[in-house]
Amino acid sequence: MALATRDIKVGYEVTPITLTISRQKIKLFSTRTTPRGDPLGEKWAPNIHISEEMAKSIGFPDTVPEGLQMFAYMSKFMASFFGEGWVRGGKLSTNFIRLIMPGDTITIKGVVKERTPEDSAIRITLEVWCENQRGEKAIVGVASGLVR
Amino acid sequence: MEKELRWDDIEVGEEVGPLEYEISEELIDKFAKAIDDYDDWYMKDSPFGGRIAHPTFSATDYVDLMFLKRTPIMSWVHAKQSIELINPAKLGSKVTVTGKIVDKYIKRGRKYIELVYVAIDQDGQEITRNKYISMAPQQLRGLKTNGTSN
Repeated sequence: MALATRDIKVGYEVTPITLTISRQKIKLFSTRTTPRGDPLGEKWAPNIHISEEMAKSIGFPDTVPEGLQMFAYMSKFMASFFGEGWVRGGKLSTNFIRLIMPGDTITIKGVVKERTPEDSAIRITLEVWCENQRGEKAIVGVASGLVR
Repeated sequence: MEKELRWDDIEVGEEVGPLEYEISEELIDKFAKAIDDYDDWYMKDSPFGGRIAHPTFSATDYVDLMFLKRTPIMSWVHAKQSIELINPAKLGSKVTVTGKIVDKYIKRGRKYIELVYVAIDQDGQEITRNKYISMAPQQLRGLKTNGTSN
């Protein structure tokens, strides 16, 4: 059920969601079968998401999740808040500013920044971010959805 | 092992795609498993009429688009991503994704590319508009892949 309302207040804090980024989840996402039909991990292995050796070759301490894996979690967060107004009319723009490592506990947070009329709907814009267990922001961005 | 895509070989204005596929139960199910999101809208039924793909599903198509153009992007590092969700991708939809390299630049010594891509359905309706900004791996450290330095 969507939580956003047309008269929601600027400053409203969306209920955060927390998840642990396990090595298994990273591998699962990065070995998915793409629409083109190639399981990534088999066709392209090694890559920085499933091969520690490849990750270290570019200076990373370990494998890292794909940006789009985290992007999908942020979409889930937004879908819970906006419902239909996310699926049709949602926008999300993110900067990946800090590495997320296997074992990190990530919390996705959002704060309402703006309400803007858009046709007959209200577009609600949020500052959104993912922070790790040390409170360090790893992904920052802006997201919005429609309340009709 | 195929040699990895090189920043120097990419030209602004290059078009990538089309990538064409159908939103199948298998694709939705595997994406749901990959991100552990089994909401009813994806698995059973939605207000849009039947099952839909996860909203950011087509955002991941940059991987296939770049592969179709050249060679794998195994260790490029995602810097930024944006998406506009126009319409849901319904089960059975036939999706076409096309993209273009719109910029490449060096910032603080690191090499970036910007790819924009759009997913539409069989009726020409837009599903998503996307932008992918990625950093070339050789700027993090000289990348070696099976003995091949990029």
